[in-house]
Amino acid sequence: MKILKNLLKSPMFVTGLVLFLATIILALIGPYVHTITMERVGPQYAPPAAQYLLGTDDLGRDYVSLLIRGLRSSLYVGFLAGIIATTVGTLLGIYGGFKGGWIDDLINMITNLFIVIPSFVILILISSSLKDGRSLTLIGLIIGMTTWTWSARAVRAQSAALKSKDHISLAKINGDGTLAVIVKHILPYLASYVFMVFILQVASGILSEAAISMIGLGPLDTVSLGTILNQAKNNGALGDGVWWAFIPSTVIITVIVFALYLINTSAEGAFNPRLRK
Amino acid sequence: MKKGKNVTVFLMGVLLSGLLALQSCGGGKPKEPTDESGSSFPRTKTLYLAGSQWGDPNTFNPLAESWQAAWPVGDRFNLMYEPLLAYNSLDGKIEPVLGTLVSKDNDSIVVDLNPEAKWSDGTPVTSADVKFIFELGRRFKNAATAFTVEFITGINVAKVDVNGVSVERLSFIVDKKGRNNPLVILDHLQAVRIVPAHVFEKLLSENNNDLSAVQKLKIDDNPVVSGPYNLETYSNEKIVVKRRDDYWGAKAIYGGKLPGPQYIIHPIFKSNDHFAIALQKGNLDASQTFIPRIWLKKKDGVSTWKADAPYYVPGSIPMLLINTTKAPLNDKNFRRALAAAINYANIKELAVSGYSPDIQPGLIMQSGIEGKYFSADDAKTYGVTYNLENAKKMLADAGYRSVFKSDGSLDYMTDKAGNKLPTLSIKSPAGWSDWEAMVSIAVKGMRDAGIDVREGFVDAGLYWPALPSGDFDLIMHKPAAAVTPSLPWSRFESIMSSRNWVPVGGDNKMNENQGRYNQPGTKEYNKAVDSLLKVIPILSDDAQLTEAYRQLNKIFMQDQPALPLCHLAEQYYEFSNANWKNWPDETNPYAPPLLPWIGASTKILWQLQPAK
Repeated sequence: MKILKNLLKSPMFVTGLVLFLATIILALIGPYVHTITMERVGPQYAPPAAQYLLGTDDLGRDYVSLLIRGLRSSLYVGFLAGIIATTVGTLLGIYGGFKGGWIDDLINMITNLFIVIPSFVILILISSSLKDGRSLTLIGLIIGMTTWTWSARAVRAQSAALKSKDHISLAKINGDGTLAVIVKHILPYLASYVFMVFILQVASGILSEAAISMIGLGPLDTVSLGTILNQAKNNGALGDGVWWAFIPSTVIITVIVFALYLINTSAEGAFNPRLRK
Repeated sequence: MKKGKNVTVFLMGVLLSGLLALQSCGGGKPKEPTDESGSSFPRTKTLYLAGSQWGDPNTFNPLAESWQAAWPVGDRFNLMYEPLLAYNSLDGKIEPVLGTLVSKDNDSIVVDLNPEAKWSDGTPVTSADVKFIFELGRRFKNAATAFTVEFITGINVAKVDVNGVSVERLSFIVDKKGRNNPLVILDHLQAVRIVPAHVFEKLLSENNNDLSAVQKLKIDDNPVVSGPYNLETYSNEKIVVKRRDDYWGAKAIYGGKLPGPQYIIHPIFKSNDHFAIALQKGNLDASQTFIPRIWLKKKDGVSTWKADAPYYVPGSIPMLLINTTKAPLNDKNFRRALAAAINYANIKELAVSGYSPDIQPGLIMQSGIEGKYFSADDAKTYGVTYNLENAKKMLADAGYRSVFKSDGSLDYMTDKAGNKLPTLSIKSPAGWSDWEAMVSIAVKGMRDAGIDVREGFVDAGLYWPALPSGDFDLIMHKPAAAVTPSLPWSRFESIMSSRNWVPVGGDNKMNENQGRYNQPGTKEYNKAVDSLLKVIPILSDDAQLTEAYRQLNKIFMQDQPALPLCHLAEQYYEFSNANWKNWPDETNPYAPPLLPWIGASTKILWQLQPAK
């Protein structure tokens, strides 16, 4: 509770939180405020007007509807990737850091192996081996499975530092097994850290999805903020001065990621007493 | 505060190192020899054209498969290796290149070889060269031109006297017991490029008569060619060809004139959007790529064949092939309902920027050379046009029922017996934006009609193998994409022919009729289709020909084995007058709207003039 109070005192955190909640609200209640339609409502790339506030896309569809859909998809991918990357990374990191020895070496090796494989290479390989093509969930899974490495490394360092603390030794003497020690005595110490890792992983998941989709390797037959950009690029919207094809979705991506980074940075200040003002 | 400082220092470091990297890139490059304008290829003497080479140039071997060899050796490009004849897709006439068409009938096609024709090493082009390439398939099964031996039994050579000059007269004998198809032989005579037999026979004997070893050679070092240009240099960024000032055709065909541009450079762009920008900036003189909303580029001097919509000359039909062996797609009523559910006007306007006329049902275009076979009455009587209510009615009449979710969206569809039908998928290569848009519009209409179908965009690596093996429900395809003398026959053949019918599954492949329409041996088998396809190539009477085409088109419309979506150009043709002028267009139609390395369009090179 005290931490939350501390956090709310930080204008940076409040700004981040407000911006992030705004995007969540837009995604959640957008469909109730604005009629979402995937129908053709006007000509190709019609500029913003009363009946389509942010213009239309190459198929004459309303960009507001597409952006709300896209935002929902992007948040879904971001959270999915964030949850996977944080869970996998934290578990492996804590375990390796705590156990040490050859287990730590092995986990380190696997981590280093994954770090050098670019996620889009895996993406191309997986998508060409899958008959049904790339779904939003698959993209989220792949991003999660390729970005857990740095959370594992960061958490490992923290947990290795905790390992030699007195209360851990005490717990061990009391007969607690590895799992019990990790869950009861290490995780609580790292919770704030893991929270920040999670925030960053969500942000990077959203960015990765946008980047992968932008180059045409994104989810097929769904709208995401990245696929909106990809469609705009493929249809030469940039060359024809159709700014409404890419500015709004870029702005939304920027706002979400910016908000998450603000939350992360301010949380670091609140969690770490040495940085607290 | 401390942290902020660190970030600033870090950013400055990044900037500095970036600048340094840029600096070293610019300064370290060795300079190419240049003229006063600063380029090794002076702009006033160089033509920049693009769109025929997308990947890295791997080989310039004319015996390699035509899709493997780089521009201008692959495909049917004729700048280096020339064909016997050229087809003018505007007026349907056959124009002379290495040879002149003397006569064609159902027994043989007769061509006189130009006695002036010479290879770049000075030896004359003779019947031995022609025989070498056309009969290579008899010696080697893996020859890229092996398809020709199915159609001709042989080439007879006679010496005749034409206006006092001794000329080699070649008769391509139609294989009557085999395919019996003089129409396709005519296609081959303008597509197969003649190569120097003396060069390749020597290479074959050096390689123990192993064709696949010879096919692996790059043939990129001063190759022996007959055409007006020869390979100068190439890299992964561009291919450069240089004019041959001793080209035989200058005197023999073009009245002593050489082509205008001394160099032709084909820059290799990786993405479609580069072409429009390069054209608008005047860095590219002509291109053959899909550029959306071309009218917005006019202010920057980009022109097309027609000044107004549809801007291009229709020549090919992108369509959805249907796997007719799979329920419910094996029901022609279902297929006709699919055709009625597609909003063709939206496809024309949104997917292809209006580059198509309003299409008529059937496989025959209402305009151009094949327009004479088109019957508006038949299209009206037998064809299906966009009409959602009609599509729903057809489905209901055939016993299909759509089940909707509580929010009004389609859940699934049931067949006559009440069984739930699987979700159908339309396969199309991901990233081909115009095709993707066509598929999305088709899916939208079909779902509105209550048909459970979804987009199935797949990587191109999965798309191509799926086509011949029949691994699809519906699939995007553009059959008979090139305008050749055999159209529209070749279009019907590639969709309806059961000549090589094999079922889906295993290693079975069909290179035509990939939808497995009209299975022989079943009680639904319609014999008329294959017999019409067999008889049309040997019909010469126009009335009979029209009647046969009408019959075939009627069957197509009734059975709907595929869903034509729009009529697009054989090749998009955009040009800029910024550096070179006098490109052919609708008001000055001296050559077909193709880049000057295909068919009868090579003559454009002789008509271009520097703009400055």
